[in-house]
Amino acid sequence: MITLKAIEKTYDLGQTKISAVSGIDLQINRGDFLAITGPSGSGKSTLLNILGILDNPTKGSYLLEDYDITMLSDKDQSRIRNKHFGFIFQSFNLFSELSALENVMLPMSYAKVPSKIRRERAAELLADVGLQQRMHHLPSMMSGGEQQRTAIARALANQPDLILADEPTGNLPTDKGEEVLRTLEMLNKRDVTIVMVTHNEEQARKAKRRIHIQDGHIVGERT
Amino acid sequence: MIRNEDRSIIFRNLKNRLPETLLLVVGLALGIGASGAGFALALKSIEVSNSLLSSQQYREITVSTRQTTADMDVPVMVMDQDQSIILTSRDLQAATDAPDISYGYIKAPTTFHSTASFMEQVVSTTRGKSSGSGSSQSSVPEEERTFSQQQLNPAQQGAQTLLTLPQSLDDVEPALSQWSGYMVSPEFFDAWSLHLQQGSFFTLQDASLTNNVMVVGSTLARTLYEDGSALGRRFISGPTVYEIIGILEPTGTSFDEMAFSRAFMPDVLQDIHLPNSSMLQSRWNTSLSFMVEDFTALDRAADQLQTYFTNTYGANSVVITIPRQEAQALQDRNARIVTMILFLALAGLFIAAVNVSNILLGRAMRKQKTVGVLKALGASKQRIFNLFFREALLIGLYASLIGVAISYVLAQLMQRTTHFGSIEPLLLIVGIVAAWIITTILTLFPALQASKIPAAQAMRTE
Repeated sequence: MITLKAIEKTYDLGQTKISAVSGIDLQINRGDFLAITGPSGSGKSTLLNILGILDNPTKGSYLLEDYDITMLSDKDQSRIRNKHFGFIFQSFNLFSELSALENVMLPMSYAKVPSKIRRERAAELLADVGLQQRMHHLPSMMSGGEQQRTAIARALANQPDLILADEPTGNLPTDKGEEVLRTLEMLNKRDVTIVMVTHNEEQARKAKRRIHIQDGHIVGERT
Repeated sequence: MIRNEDRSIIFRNLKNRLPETLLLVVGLALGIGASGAGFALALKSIEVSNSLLSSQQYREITVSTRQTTADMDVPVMVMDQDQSIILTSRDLQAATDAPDISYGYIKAPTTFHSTASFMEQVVSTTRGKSSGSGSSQSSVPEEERTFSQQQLNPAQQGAQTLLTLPQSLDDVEPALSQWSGYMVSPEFFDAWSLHLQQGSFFTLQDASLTNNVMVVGSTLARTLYEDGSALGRRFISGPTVYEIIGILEPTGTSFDEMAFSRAFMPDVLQDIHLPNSSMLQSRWNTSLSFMVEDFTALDRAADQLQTYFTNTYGANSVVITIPRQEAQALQDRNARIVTMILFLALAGLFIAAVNVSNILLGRAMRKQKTVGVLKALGASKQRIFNLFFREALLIGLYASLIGVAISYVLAQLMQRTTHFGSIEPLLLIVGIVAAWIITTILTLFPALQASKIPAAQAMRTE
């Protein structure tokens, strides 16, 4: 599904250049559940950014279903993120101005789904994560667990092929974190590919594949 | 605008920061209002200037014997009459020496008295004659007197007219005892674009001292004869029997004052040249006007006229003025004032708009992460730009709506100060739109910056 070849990312800070990741070769197949672990500053987030096309690599190639997406325009990259990827963040990143329902509807509006269908589908997704009673609440009125479930519903809005999760349980109490993880496992069983960055060794063990990053290099892989 | 989640974000965002939003709107509204009024004023001043300078009046050269307005205050008797000349229709032939002049006309202010006051005049003249003193006419030297008795002794001739023609006059007397008008040559009506409602114009041949014709303004006609049929009426004024042969039509322009309330008669003094006659004292304010179609030739034509009058009457005998030059100077002054007003208004608008731009930029920069997440969810640069730009547009729109009211008030104030006449609502709208466009351009920047926030900001931990 995704093939990274000799990926390198350097940040130009004027006089000095900082290499965030280099020499990354990675193959992600459909149906994978990949956990990325590593200490802070090791380059995990940079790798996730590149995988999610939030950032373009300085060198190397990124093939998505055999297409090199690094050369695509902003508009085309946005469309890929919108239709094929779903993002889950550590701090949920819901829009405080929008209700849970509207948060889930938003990515569908970018996909030009008609308003009525957006609403119906968003309601279904929220019901799936057990939030049918909280649909019209603003994020500020919801607990961390509820917010993260809303964020998962949002990530699923356009039926993505790949879910990219950055420390999805990092801001949650253990029980809520496990709940989120169970949801991800369930999605994976429905053939959704999952890439998750985590600090948590125990959670990482639940993934099908684990890679460990240190100083910008993949130093180990376990399946 | 499609009703979608973007819209909710924009509106709730504005609402959540209501005090800040209101301040931005009010500040911008003041700038837009002032600039809108400033633009409208500038457009109006251009329009007024163009229409004013294109009017016939400013294609004229005026020749008069008055040096300055101060001269006019000097009693006529005190003036050194030997140094002065009386302008008559004959002087219009100056135009033949100046090819740029299409035609000229004479205009001498005069007053008409109806019979009632004339009777007093007859009585006083009779008394004056019997006592052999009193009126200024007695100071006229004897050798000139012979001539003036033939043609000019007004009281005598008038008295004869009154005595010989009373039956043929109308039994209806004019309702006014005195009104003002001008002795003019026929070209005057062309020059001032005056047309007739009824009757006909006159030629100089229609005039004599005892029988003369008159064209009156429409309002004056109604005032003089309340039954509404002034045309063809005859009355006596001074030594002369007048017949009203034409009534002017309203012009719909600033000349209507002329067309309404003045009376015009042919200049009777065309062939008379008597520098010391007392009757001619009323002719001190006579002016000759020469029309020059091509206003760029005004200076050249004025020089040619100067040559004619210097050759005829000597140096400095007449004053030649080009009203266009004075009007131009006035317009230039107005233009500078308007430019200054517009500059200040635009400076205000600029400051307000830059402030809005700055605050919106600050908001965008605080929302780096939000923009990153929006991009992660699939928002393109274009979409982010639209999101932020719509917010700025909305602030600009609210400000413009308030600005319309502000500019209206300002326009009213300026109207009273500038004598430009009313500033049309259309001009105000054009002004507001111009100010709004400036605002919009200045607020493009934050939206542009927001759209450039990298998507990777989504992953940033705070």
